[in-house]
Amino acid sequence: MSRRRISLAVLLLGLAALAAIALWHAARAGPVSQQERARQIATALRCPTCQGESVADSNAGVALGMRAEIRDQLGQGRTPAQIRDWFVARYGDWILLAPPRRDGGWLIWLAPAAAVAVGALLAWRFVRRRPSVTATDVRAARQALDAYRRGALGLDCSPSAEHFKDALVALDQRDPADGPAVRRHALATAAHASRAYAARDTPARSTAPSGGVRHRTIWLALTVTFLATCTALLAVSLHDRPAGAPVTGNAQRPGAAPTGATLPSLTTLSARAKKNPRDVAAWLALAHGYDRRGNLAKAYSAYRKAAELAPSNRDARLGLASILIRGGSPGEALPIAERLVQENPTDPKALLTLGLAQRASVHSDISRKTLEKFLSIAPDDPAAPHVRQLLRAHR
Amino acid sequence: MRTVHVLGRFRSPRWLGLGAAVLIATLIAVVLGTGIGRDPSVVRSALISKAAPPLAGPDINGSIVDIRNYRGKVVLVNVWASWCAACRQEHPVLVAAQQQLGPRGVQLLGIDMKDTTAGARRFLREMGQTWPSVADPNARHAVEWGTFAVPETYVVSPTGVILDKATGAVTAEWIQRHVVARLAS
Repeated sequence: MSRRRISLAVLLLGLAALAAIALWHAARAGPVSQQERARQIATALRCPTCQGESVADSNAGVALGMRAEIRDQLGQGRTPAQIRDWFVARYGDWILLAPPRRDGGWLIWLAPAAAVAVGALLAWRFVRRRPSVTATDVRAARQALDAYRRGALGLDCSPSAEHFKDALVALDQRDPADGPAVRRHALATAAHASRAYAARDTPARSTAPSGGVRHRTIWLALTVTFLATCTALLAVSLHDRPAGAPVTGNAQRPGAAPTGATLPSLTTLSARAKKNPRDVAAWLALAHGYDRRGNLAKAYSAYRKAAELAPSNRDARLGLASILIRGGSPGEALPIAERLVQENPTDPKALLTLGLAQRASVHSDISRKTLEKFLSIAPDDPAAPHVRQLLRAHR
Repeated sequence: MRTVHVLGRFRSPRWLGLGAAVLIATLIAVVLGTGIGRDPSVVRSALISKAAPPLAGPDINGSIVDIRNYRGKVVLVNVWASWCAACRQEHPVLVAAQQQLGPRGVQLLGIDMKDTTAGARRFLREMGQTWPSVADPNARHAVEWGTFAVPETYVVSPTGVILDKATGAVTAEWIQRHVVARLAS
């Protein structure tokens, strides 16, 4: 057995030595080409557009730009550390794939090693806790063996007795050709069984100074603290999100541009309107399209067409008035907006349009009242913050 | 006597171990809790409050554009590309900003990143753009400004210091909060 141990130890040491030599050889900086050095720097930087890819592996536009920048700077003679610092100055520590050691970064490097050390410590304590057999147990086992051979062994029917008897049988039947280690193992097993049999009536004693009930209470307290802290922090980070917003990610502000929404192209919209010249909805859609793209002139003519086709259409008149205000003719928008508010005094969009038209013409005091009425009816409207700012600025 | 007993019990390794476990559990809870509300893909720009990097180069027609010509104005540097869908979405907001805030000392400048001349021309013809854009086919200017992706917009003070950065499409509300609010000062 000891020879096997020695040969195993030699094998392990040899492997460790080989590994050490290989690592040392790899870490030595040999002469490498410019291209290879550029690639080395690129593999240490994170691609900003991708998820977890290095700059060397990514084909994103920004990554290509970064690779070109690295090549350029190497050509100018800067060191890899200088180049990395250049990127960190523009993108922050996040751009490095390996977290830097300063400012608490060492914690990230230390944590796995600490976890392994703690695990090893716990394992060692667990292994050491097994009570070893004493000389008394060995003597008791030998005596029991003699009694068994004489046929005078009196054991009860408990499971520990059965285990004891099996151990004694094994001890008795061992082959004389077995090595000393086997003999010792069989004796140790019998001694353990003897001790267990002797202690079969005493209640199990935990080696912890605190009792089982207290142990459970402490675990319960720990779990509750952990869950309570998590819940509290979750509540704090969620409390200012509007209803229906997703739980993670940055809170969406109301009125944010919907991402992923596709705008129908202007060519489709204008084709539709030309094909159905009497279709109010088509002209309105075209007008919206031009409006969102900032083409006020074309949007105006499309709104005019829609208003001519359907003079009572609210959307057409609202759009018309809005274009007139933005295009610098608030006086023309005023009668349109006034009529809209007359027809529906609590329509927030109509109130907003009227307020802005009044403000852009001479009626600045009246506009304040109109805009405040708009705010009281629709405080969460996407335009509300802008309106509040306007009112504040002209106090 | 009793006090000594109690202290003695608390000094045992078991209690120390449990104390350490409570501390670690609280630390983990704090890290998880504070991280849960954040979008991990949005990283704060490292250039905020630093001097703006240089930006000078030809536009798609060949005329030279230089950010130094706009000292004294609040410059909005917008990184865009014709192949970028969100850039289309935010474009009307930028047009409106230039129209309404131009007289108040705001100037828009573009960085046309990784784009073709034909694509850029088509985009500008369709969407209309009343401000100059530096052509950046190799993304070098974009990288100089610490750009993650398109579209992004930087707010540069009249003295050339980067005040703020928007990642993704800008909204009218963002302009209101980050640009108009600064114009008053």
